[in-house]
Amino acid sequence: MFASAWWYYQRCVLANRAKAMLKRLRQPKYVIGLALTVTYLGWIFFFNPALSGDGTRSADEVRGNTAVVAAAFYLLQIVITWFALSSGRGVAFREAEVQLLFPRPFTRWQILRFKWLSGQPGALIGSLIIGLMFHRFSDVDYGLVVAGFWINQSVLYAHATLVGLWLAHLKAKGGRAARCTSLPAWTMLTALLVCAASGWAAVGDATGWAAARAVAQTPWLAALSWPFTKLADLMLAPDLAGFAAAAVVPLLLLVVHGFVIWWADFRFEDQAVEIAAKIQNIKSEGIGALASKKDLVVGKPRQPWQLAPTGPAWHALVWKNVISLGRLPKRLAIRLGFVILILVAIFSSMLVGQGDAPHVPTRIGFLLLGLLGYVSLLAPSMVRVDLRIDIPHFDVLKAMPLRGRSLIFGEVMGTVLVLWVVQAIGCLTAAILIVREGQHVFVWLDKAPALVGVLSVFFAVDFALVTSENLMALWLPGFVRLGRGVRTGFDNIGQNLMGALIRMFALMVLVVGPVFAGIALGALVHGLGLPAVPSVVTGGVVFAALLCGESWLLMCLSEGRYQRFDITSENVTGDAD
Amino acid sequence: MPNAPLIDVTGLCKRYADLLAVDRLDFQVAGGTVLGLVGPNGAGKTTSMRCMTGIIPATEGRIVIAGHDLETHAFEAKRHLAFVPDTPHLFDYLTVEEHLRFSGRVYGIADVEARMDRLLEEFELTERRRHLPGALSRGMKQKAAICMAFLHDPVAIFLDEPLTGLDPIGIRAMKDSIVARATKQGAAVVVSSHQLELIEEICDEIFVIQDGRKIIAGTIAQIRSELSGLPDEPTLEHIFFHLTAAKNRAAKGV
Repeated sequence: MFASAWWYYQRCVLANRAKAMLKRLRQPKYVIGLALTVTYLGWIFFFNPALSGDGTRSADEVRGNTAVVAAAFYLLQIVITWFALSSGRGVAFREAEVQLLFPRPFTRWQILRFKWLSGQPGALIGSLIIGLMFHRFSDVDYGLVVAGFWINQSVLYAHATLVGLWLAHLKAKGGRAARCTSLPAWTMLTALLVCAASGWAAVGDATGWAAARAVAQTPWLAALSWPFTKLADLMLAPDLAGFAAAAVVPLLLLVVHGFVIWWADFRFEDQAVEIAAKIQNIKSEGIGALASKKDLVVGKPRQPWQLAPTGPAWHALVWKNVISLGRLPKRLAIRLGFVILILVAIFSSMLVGQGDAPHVPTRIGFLLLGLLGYVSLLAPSMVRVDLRIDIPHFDVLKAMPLRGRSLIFGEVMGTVLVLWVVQAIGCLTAAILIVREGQHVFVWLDKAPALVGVLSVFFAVDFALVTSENLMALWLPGFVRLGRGVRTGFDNIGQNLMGALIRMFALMVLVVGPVFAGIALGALVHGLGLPAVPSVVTGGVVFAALLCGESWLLMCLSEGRYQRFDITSENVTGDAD
Repeated sequence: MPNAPLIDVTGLCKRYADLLAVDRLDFQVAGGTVLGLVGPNGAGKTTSMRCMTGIIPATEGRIVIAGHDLETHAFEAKRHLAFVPDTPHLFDYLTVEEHLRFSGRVYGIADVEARMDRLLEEFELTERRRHLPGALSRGMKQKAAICMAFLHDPVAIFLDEPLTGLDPIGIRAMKDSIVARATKQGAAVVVSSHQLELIEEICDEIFVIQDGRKIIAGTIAQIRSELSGLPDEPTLEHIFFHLTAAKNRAAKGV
């Protein structure tokens, strides 16, 4: 009965999924999206020069290098899995699975198998895609690499299931064990770092791949990564005989994990119900759903400023968005900050010490400026507390006594202000750190106007980027992720790609005029005798003013679109099924 | 003829860390009886339902469905029960009729097509049988979940807010269906709802809970006779407000 029910479910799901995707292709935007996706993936997997060898290494050497990378990848994946599951969340079920499987006559073992089996088509597609990459990179047999990767995925899935069930069981039991569920993950990470550090001496004069292999082959690290090396060996087996021999350990691991899961029969229902509700919330509300219940109870208001009872109505929108941005899940913000810190530390260690007599604070200052520039380009598409979040409730917004341009301006300015304040703090810190480079000493007489110029440019770029993102949501809502929910699924890759390309094109058109005007004016005033730094600053300020003006003009031009916009008549999801 | 209890709950407790969500509930529902589970928000109705249907394990207590202990003989007990949640979630890529066929396979129903046609007709879903959940309204999803639940003729039926999202025709069909399942097929039905007029209309017995504990239980006539200070000809709404207000006053020490 179980096998029959699962097979019927799987058959129907695959057929209906394929039908729904084909049905969507009746709409031109999905055809274009598919073409873009195929082109993009085709370039990545077939033409990307980074994936083809440089011809200087033998096949065995390339395979050896790939094995080191694959083993490291699996090892890190396991460490991350232990960390992620230490909260005791157990196995991630969806609401439909909880409601439609749990009250039915299935055993726990059957429900877990149902879930694992249902994930196999996705795992196979993933293996086929990853296989392409490894096949091209290390020149191994495509069929073998796909089969190997697929088996490895199953082993890792079984391990994650067992770990999830066990840690959730400990957490549910309470007591001292419940407080120590993250201990194994920390122990693993510490062991990994200690082994890597102790193996560093083996590098000697070796560089690049040779250094990586030397570290990986040191006794302690080799012992720690032994099971992962076996997984990598299976994926990179040179022939069928090698594959059969390499498959013994991974298959044994799979069987042992399966047996322990069946034998232990952990109760997972409580955690499953909780995580299913969370997953459902993430789909509709985005990462805000990750906030703990404590985060959702706001204590004494600590707004940066109080909203005046009278004044321009768009102030209320700015206030609302700034407050919302301050209430992103704290735990998530801390983790994000931790990741950024690690990235800064890695880049710093690579860059700041190079060259003759480097002044380390100055190097860190420049690095900070570079990082701020990079973040400025990414942040407007990631920080989405503006019209993109509010557009599903557009009827409520339209009912407000506000002109379209004021509403868009208010929505945009909340995000822009928060981003700009972060950039201003970063730039000021960078200005303090930057003191000298080589013989050149940076004095405040130069740094102060430069700071004004940089902050003007940052503000204008933030304003233009966030405006283009918001206007895109208004003009082409089908290509933008709206609301707090997340866009998932293979066919959304094309839509996201198209949206990104349109935004990039719009931005390029937008900056061309201000860039030329800024350069021309800067050159002119420099030609008239103004020193270099003030000339550049003048150019920057002109660029910023023109870019802001253009963005404002676009908002005004969108007034008519705002008046006509009706979210119910927009085919936002493209779901015609 | 006195019916044997098809749902037998003894000392049901459910604890989440420091929170006791359900505290020592005892009740029995005989075949042919509809029990209304009533209580304010957060009283523990949904948690109790989830425990009684094996979705989550009870911390303490015993639940017996059609003579089978849900803890020790979960498989047999679940063969005889059905659950309709308050917010139905269906598989994204299964049509309405495929959901029913899937359910048919799970319970090994031979005449699934005939039963399916009958249920789809009863709940006016025949025209939507080949629609995926994405194309269904909330009420239609609710009806699909109800059809799935009734397909295997369960003897113990648990309905959590079954009328949410249904149109007037759906509400009528639902009420008739619940009563028919109890009276004609002899099923024991537990209905949780905030719609007190529905409870009053279709339920034989009422079970009122608050903060996870039983406040009162029995037929409406029994409850009326037990309580004092009620207006003449009190409705369930009067009884509910009387009971919960008294509990709130007691909690505040008034």
